[in-house]
Amino acid sequence: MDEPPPATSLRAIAPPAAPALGPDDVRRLVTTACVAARGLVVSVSHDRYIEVAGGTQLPIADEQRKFNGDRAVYLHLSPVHAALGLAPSGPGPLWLTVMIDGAVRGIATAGGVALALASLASGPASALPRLFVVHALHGHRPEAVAAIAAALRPRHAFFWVHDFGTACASAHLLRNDMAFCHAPPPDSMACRVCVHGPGRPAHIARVRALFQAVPFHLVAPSAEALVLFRAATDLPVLDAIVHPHAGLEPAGTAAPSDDDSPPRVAFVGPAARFRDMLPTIAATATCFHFARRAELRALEGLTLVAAESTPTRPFGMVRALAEHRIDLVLALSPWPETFGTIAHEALAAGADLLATEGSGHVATLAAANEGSVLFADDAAIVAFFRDGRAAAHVRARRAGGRQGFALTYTGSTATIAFDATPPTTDRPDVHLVLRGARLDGTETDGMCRFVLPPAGPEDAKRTVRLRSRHLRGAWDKDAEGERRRLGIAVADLRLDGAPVPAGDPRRLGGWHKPEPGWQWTDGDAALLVGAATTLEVTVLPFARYWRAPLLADPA
Amino acid sequence: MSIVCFTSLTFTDLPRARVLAETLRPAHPDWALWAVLVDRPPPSYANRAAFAGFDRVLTVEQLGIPSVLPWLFRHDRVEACTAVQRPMLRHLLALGADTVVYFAPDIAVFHPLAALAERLETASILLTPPQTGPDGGFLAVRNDAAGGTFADCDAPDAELFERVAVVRDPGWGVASLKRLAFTPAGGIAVDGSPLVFCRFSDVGDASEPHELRRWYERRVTAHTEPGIPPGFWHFASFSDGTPIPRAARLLARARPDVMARFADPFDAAGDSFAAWFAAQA
Repeated sequence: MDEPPPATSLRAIAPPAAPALGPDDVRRLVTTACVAARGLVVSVSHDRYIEVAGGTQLPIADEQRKFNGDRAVYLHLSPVHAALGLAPSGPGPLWLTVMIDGAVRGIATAGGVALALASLASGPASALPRLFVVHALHGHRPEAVAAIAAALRPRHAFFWVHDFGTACASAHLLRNDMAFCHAPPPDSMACRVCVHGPGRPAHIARVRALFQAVPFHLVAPSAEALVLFRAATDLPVLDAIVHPHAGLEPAGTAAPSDDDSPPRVAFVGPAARFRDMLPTIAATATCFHFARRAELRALEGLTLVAAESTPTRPFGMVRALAEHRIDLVLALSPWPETFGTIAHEALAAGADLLATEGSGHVATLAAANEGSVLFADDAAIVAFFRDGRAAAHVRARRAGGRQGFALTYTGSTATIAFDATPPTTDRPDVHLVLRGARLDGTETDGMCRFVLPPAGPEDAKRTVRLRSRHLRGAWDKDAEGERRRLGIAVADLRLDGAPVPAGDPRRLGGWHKPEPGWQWTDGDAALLVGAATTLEVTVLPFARYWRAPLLADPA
Repeated sequence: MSIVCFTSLTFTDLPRARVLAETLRPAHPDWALWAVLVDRPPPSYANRAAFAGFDRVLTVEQLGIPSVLPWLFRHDRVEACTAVQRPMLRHLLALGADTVVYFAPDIAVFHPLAALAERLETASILLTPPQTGPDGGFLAVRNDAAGGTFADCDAPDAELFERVAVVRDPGWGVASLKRLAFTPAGGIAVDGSPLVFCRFSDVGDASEPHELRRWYERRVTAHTEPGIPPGFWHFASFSDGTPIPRAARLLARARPDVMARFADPFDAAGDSFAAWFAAQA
């Protein structure tokens, strides 16, 4: 242990049972995880994305799964002390939560993590392609982020425009936390009278130093986000691309209905945004509030629905909105949304959007979607209900049969490509991990044949891990409903020529329930091989597997 | 053109006057900023750095006002700060300033007074209309014959009024913060014009929540000095600490013959005005 133990107060807010890790501990954990891996991704954001429902956390969880689907290791770093702005620079250590592949492994100082990553240069992980991804800087020290990037020496570094925290500590660019400010010059009068104004020049200087130190590819989830980023800042970047977190694909049409009951209207998010307009809308519509349980507030005329999308239930909100047959979702945002997860979920649930101008990508979605309506401001939305247009609109939409959409998450950085490499492949990359090392076999007509090293007398209970890429499809589409993580569909498995059938006790962990003709692995299945010298695995060519183009070998 | 700006204040006004100084300076870095202090410091308070935002600070007793203590005695705090404007104006004109500008201490400046020079080409005295209080808290006087006459006389005649202009630009003072709007470029506008200055005691209901009022309150708090009791004014009480009643000040105005006996009517010792007043009561 090279670092001092964390203070008691830190222990109180750190993840439960998370040990304090020194540089050697971090290096050991990463090195172990990287055995037989295809790459190492180090990502940085503001919280433990697996525990928080949100528009940034959901894509990070999706990104992690899809990188894991290509057998890349996903090391995530978030500040133990959550903060809205940057962590102050100072001599004391900055403690980070260290997660690997979605599991908390401990807490470590930023300096310790940098030391650990630098030491990978002499180990087996040094040969892996490495990526560095910054999703958010809140609570981080940009100087420490730059040091981590320098230690990692990534093939590519990406900076995501989830918000505008690069331009101001108010990441949503809300002047005095009240109104969108358009990111005016730091010496403007608006900044002078804003609570975030006095610290803004130093904030910008620290972020600029990071961008000067790390050659970032800038990634925006929408064109609107990229335009505003460029207007708000002139940070140096290698290039800039637009890569959505998710897409909406047409998926059938709802049956026409003559239902003339009042519009079913959903408010989503904090109650403070819609409290004032609720009485007018509730006079002509059936109103619901969809939010995580802690955000729900009992208000007259409002039915409360606890709902959220989480990394483990990514379509939770879509399903809740659909189950309540919502006609209209009010996408109220005081700032230009860079993506608008709620708006995507609303459309996927079969609802129309009511949005206001200035809400960024949400406004674009509403303008492009037949049946959604874009308003000048909140007052215009209220008037839409007061004068009966909302009820007429909903009747017409029900009668016409709405176009349905399927929401598909892209994997964010995991599917970015700088060449024509597609994000999927028909090659599952089946291999073994034996005694901490990768063992490749030979493949003929879907059958992989592995020659196992001679076993010693103590190897009667020798096991191997049967690893592969993950199948594309699971978790990615609401319509599919597949919750399992799938690796390969094994139709036949033999040790020294003798079958090891589905359900055989030698198929240890990582095997799903047998199906007629095959048994799925979860991509990392354990197998008791004992003293066998050959292993033959026949894989059904069912589908395509995840491949992160950025980790592919250069052409 | 040399422009000298001043405000008049007591120690109670000091936090607000410091906000005036910190906001005026970036708008007009070439202007000299003076303060006339109608007060004496609280006991054991001696932080001269509190006035660092000002180029010069004069006390009311340095202005050459005849019988200054009886003069002060005739005024309450607000009246004294208002009454001292004319002597200060004369003082600065006499020093040779081309233009003298007065700001009330509770004004904050947001954008430069770009139209000032142009307006003073055709006028010698600029005023702003009062919003809700007795005056607009702003005055600019050119150092010419009309300006000098204005500074010297207490009741300007009709001829002088021809050289007086009332600035009705919506940005020169504002009656309600609800009329303010922030521009995408980061400016603050009133009805489409830049907000030049705002007198915060003069903008509607003080309980009205508005981010600009919140900002002003934050700045005033930041400039509030420890060691200055709330509402402090040295000339609010006799030398023994007894508060001076309003009736005593009114009596002092009505009875110059009596006041002539007391060179320092604040002095409560011996044959004092305080004793005389108490006897009258």
